[in-house]
Amino acid sequence: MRPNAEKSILLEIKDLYAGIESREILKGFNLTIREGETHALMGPNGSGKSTLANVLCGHPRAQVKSGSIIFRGENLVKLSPEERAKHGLFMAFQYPVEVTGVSLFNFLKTAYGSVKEKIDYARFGKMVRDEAEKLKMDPAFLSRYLNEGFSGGEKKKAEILQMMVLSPKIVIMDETDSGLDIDALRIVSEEINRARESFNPGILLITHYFRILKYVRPDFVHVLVDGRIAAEGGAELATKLEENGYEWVRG
Amino acid sequence: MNKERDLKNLKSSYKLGFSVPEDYVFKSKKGLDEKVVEEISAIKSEPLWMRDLRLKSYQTFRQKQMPGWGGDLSQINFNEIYYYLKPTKTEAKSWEDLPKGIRETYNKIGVPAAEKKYLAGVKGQYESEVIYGSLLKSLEEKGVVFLGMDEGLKRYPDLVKEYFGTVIPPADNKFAALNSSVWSGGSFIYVPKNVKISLPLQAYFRINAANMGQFERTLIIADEGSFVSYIEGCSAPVYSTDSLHSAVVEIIVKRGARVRYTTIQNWSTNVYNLVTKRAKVFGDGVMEWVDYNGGSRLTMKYPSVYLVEPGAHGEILSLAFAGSGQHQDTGGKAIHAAPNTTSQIISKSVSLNGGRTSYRGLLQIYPGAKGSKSKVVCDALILDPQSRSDTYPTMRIDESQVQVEHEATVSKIGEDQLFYLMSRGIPEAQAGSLIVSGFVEPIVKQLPLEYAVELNRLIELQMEGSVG
Amino acid sequence: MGEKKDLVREKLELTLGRTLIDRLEEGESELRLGADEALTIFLLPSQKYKNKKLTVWLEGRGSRVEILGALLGGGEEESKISIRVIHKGRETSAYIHLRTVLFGQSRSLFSGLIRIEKDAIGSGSLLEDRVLVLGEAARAESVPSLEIEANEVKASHAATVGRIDEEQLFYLESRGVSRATAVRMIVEGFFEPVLRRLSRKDLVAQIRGELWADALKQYLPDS
Repeated sequence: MRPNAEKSILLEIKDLYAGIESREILKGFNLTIREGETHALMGPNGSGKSTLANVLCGHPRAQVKSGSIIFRGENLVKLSPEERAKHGLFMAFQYPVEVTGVSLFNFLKTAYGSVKEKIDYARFGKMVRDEAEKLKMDPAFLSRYLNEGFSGGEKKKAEILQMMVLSPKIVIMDETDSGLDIDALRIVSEEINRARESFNPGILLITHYFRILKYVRPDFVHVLVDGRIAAEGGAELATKLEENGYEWVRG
Repeated sequence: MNKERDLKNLKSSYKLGFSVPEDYVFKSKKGLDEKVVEEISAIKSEPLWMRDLRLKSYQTFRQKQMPGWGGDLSQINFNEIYYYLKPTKTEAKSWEDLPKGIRETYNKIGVPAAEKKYLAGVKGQYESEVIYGSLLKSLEEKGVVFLGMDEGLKRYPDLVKEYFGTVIPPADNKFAALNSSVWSGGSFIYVPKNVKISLPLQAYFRINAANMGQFERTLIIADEGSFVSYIEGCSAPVYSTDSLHSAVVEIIVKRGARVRYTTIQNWSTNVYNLVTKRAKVFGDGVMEWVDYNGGSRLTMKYPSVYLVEPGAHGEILSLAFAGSGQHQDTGGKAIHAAPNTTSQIISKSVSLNGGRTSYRGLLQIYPGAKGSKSKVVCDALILDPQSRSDTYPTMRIDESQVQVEHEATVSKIGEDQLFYLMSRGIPEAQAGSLIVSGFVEPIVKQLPLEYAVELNRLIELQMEGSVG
Repeated sequence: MGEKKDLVREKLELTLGRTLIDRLEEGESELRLGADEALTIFLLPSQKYKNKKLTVWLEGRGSRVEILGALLGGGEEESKISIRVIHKGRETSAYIHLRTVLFGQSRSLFSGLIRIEKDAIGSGSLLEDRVLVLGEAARAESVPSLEIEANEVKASHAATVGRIDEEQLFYLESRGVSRATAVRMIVEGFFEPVLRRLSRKDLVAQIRGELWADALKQYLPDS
């Protein structure tokens, strides 16, 4: 039996037409992600990467016209953002919002309690601090208000911290690599790789640049152009793109 | 140095504080009663409806109370004021037609030079009558109307009747009622659909005779998609008895139109300047008030925007300077009466030598005005211990889906800033002056260049009196 | 007179805002602070008071007052709060920070006056009034005024009125938090900046208990 058939399908997107408010951006998008697979989604600006991310996490402004998105057997479109999280979906946002007065730690605690349904407080505190240390995050951030005053890089790290703590089934990373300096990129990538080893999530890595793919080696690479997949392949496709640019794909 | 010479020149001609011997065709008697109102209407040969409006407004003026807030109006004696003067018989159409005395006055102010360089047309208001106006041909061809209010009423009575008093009804406040009964002069502007006038239209005002009141009435109608910018800069000579200036400006900004109204006010310090200015803004329209108040004994003026359809936007930029014996009670009002409307009020004031500035503002959001946003910023500098600054902002938010912000600060010139400039060799007086210029710069830069230059000089003058 | 003042101050420091206001003259309270005296007043929502006037005279040199408020309005309640702080003495300072959350069809009318008189040289005053509107028909009116007669001073005020940011709600929900809990977290977070200012940590816990236990439960039952 082929190895692929053993791995269960986490996310199956078929013929998706979707957009932001009234604008249609994705025009017949298809993608399948299995357990433990890391898929990189690349494409020029305006190709629909953000739209896809918004559709998957259920942002109020995202509109699905037609097509299907099945997430672990459930019709994703019918689930609220909270239900999606409980079902095991995690989105690392490109521009995480600030929420004043809510500390990062308390927020994590509430989310964990909600998604996992039970929580061992003593263990939880230690786990969070350990993860923060691995990300080389100052523990003081845990008591600071969620994302308030965090630099771009610190916000991204905070997103990864949340991911590690919540250990979701599928992770969607919306341009996590943008705005990270070399050191931060390496640390974040190490954590993503560790996540792969420890809880084996499916990962959709939406990225504009190629850098992160040097550290987080994808199993599949998809190129999105004008709302559709224009090319697909293995990790070597990324290298080809880096050499030739997106024009090569447009053909 | 050129700069010193310029300053001396400015000082000696004190901000145009000179007068020309009186030369009038008609002067009403002192004080106000129904007969004076009727006389005014008769001399202007007005239609009956306007005469009736004046008389009704006079009644309203009698009934209404003086405002119980704001500046000290107790010294105004309504019976000691002349409410109407008519300097010449007809409106002059060219520079040469003007009476010599008046031409001299305008030469001193610099009207011809200004007209040649910047302006599309000028309505000079001498005393209570618009006597000079010239409209460039291109504007006439586009269908733009720029006339004195009196002539506007004569030539476009229906248009005037449709809009006069619709933005500021006579019963709005005591001084609007006064103006509605004795108004004379002012500008009437109509801009047709989609016509955009790139050069600013302008008017000058002067108060000359003793105990003269100025009651000009301006009505601007910007039809859909149009753009017009209007500048009003006024001056008055120094007199010992008080003068009253109570104008009304009504502006209608139709869908997608934009109007900018700029005022440079530096009346001499015996004038009471009580003005009601309001714009009604329709869908996606934009109204910008740029208001500089540096003269007068007391100014009470709150340019307002009434945002009545979705997408309307209003901005009020207010700059006030109060020196010895002056009280600038200014600010603005933004009324949101439709969804997705936005407004911004920026007010900067400086008080020195015992002067007093008060910011008075109203931000009102009516129920149903969902998605409205507003930001108000007022900053005040008090330059010495004798001076005073107040801030009285009112926010009435009757709709839940809105975003409203308000900030105000009052302080003196920062010692750190002063020290920094002085450590670079700049004398203290000049350093203070520079810092104040920097403080007001965001608003000054909104003015047309020649005004910005003159305004900066005026500020330097004001500062000279105080520092050092 | 001095003794009576001490008693009042003691009560002010030990009791929580709600009880404090009620124990003073009904509806209107006046406090005068002498040289170097410092006072913190915490205002909490109350069913009893609907119309409160508080005037603080900073008479003595160096006196300081801090007025903090975590207020709620719900149902069809209307609350009127008027706070006046008058700086008379030199180097006096005031910090007023009120945060109000409005549910249902409640109304809040706030009028604040900071006056710094001529001789109050070296004084500073700050007023912050923030309203979070949750109820569809809630109304807020705010008039924060400044009257400044001295120039060697610093005075400022800031006021905002708005709703919960949808993006914030969405972010919390995307982490599996229910809407009701997300709203509650944001509302609690909204009050944090005033709670943080209280130096008496024991009072903070007590206030949190009162705020969350009684009032918030009433308005956010699902959380």
